Amino acid sequence: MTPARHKALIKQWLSQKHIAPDKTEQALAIATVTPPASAWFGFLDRLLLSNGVGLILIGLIFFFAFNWQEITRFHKFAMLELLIVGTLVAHYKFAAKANANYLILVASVLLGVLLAFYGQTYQTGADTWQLFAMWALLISPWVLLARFAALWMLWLILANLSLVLYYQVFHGLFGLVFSGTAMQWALWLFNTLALSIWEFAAKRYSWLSQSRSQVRLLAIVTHFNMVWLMIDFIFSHGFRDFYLPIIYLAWLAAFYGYYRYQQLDVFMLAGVSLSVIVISTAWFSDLLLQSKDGFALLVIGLWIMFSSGWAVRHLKAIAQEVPHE
Amino acid sequence: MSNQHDAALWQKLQEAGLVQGDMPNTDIENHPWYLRSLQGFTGWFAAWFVLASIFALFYKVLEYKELALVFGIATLSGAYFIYQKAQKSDFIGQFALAISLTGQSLCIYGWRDLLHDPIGWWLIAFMSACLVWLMPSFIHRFLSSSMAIGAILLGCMDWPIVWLLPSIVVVAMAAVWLAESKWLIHSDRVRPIAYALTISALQIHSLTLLGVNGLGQLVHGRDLPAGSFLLAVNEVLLGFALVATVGMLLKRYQIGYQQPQAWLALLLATVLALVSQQATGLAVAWILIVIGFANGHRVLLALGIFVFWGYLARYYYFLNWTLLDKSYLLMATGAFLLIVRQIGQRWRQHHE
Repeated sequence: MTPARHKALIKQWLSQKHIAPDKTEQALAIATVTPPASAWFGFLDRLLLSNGVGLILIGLIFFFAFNWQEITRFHKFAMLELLIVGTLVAHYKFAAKANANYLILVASVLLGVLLAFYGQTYQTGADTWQLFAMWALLISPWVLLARFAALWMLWLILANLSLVLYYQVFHGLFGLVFSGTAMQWALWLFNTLALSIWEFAAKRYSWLSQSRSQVRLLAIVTHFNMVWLMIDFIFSHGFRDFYLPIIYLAWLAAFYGYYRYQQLDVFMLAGVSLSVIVISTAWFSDLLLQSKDGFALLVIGLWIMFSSGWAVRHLKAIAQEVPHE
Repeated sequence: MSNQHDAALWQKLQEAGLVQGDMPNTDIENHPWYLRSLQGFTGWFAAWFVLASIFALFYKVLEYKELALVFGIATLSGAYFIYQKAQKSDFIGQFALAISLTGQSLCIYGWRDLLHDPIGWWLIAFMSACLVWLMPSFIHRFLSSSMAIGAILLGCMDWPIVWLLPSIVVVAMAAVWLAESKWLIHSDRVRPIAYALTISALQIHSLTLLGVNGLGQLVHGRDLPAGSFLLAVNEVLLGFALVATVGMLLKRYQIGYQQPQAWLALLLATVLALVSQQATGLAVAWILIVIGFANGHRVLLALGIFVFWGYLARYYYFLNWTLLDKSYLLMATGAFLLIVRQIGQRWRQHHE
């Protein structure tokens, strides 16, 4: 049971006068809401490791970004490559340790620094999207072998960045072919695919299902892309993308069905609700605000209250089926 | 399943002599933070439309400030009445929230001329504080607390203390969360205030990162109060706040300052506080992380981790040191943390 439920229970028993107020701290300790002293070792161990490695890594990025002229480019390349090799050797040596995969994450980030430094030194003239795409491509074998969710997340972030930067470049050249919505379509397709594969694979590989934060992040991105496309569709009044509402509704139904009945996740259902509220409000606004009537604004406001009130009531009922968050 | 777990907790408390008799019926609602966020955001969104419609429909009436004020107070009273009648209904609660936000906006519109002076902002702070006390809704209390803190900030804009508000709000946030066991029984009222303090602390502290010149541009056309040198004092106070937080947690666990683990913890906090004088904001992130774990509060912990990386990313663009010097500082701090971790592991192995 989560500390949140324990805390809620103690609060209720305090209100009902079953626990004396001066015993609250003791009750929280017994319920392990406040962690026992022994739990701090594990927590501080992880915190010091993640913050320590993180600060060194960020420090290295700052160091190479400074482009210090007193070190020759040969030495800089040698330093970066040695760091990558050293990290991989360390991973090989400590492979049995629980946190060894962080070393691969460090090596993956350093590889990006190496690629950026290469581009900066030789002025290759390559577009920025190519840097991120190449970075993602080169770390792919490590990502596949490491079985580490954070590394997959890094790979997905790099892939998303390269897609965004690619469309920024080619939008100018082939504006007619690659409109602003083309990028949103590409991102939506890519992230929906990634989300589906992640959820499917998480059933088989426990290391992918240890946290829901990664899939939730992917879901937020897919919703953002689709809401963007739908709002563009509503306000552009063009029927060029007439199939979009059909895709939206089908995707939303599949999304809701999966996260309601297959893999209960109220966060995802809340995302569906917010998406529907935003899209329907945009549609009402487009429809009603043409009359330039204050009453139309009131109707839209009432609609938001009604739809969100209903959604929260519905989701809260579902939330009682899952542990406290 | 929950009932079994609830009963197990009751039994543990019973064995410790904290409760007696049979376990009462439990009535715990799971209301996760993202549902509260959805409720708050959509209520706020709806209020804009309702407010716009009122202005569009009654613009001639609302030209009279007194009428706007009367209309606002009447709307707020209506919202209070709705909340009292239907406290458990989320559906009606959402309606009351939007009505209340509209009423607040009308009241502020009523005294809009006063907003050129601090008194107008203090009135907003007072109104919001009253609403925090009166309105029986988590979301409403959170929004009103946030509004009160923002109004206090703007109300202080003519006084030198405004420069110290970033650290004052962070210290208030840390103090409130560290005393959670004292107010748990009143958490319906205090928890939303604690969350508002947390979010406002991050927002207001982020403003300090703009520096005096940046803030001057932000409030263009308005003179900044004297004492801008105090802005730099914030990080010093935040460093003290981090060390004090660790000190209070040591006290909670009854670890005397003469014990080696207490020394190590305080040394670590002091070094991190010193690093934060340069890499500004890291002390705030570490305060959140430590309190989040100490209180079994995962949202606070996750927020702390998120802002840690955010502040580091922001540090890249600070121009007071070169990237080279900044890199030395970060790498040295990282190495120090790993050394402390190693010492901790050795100490633990030695004592097991």
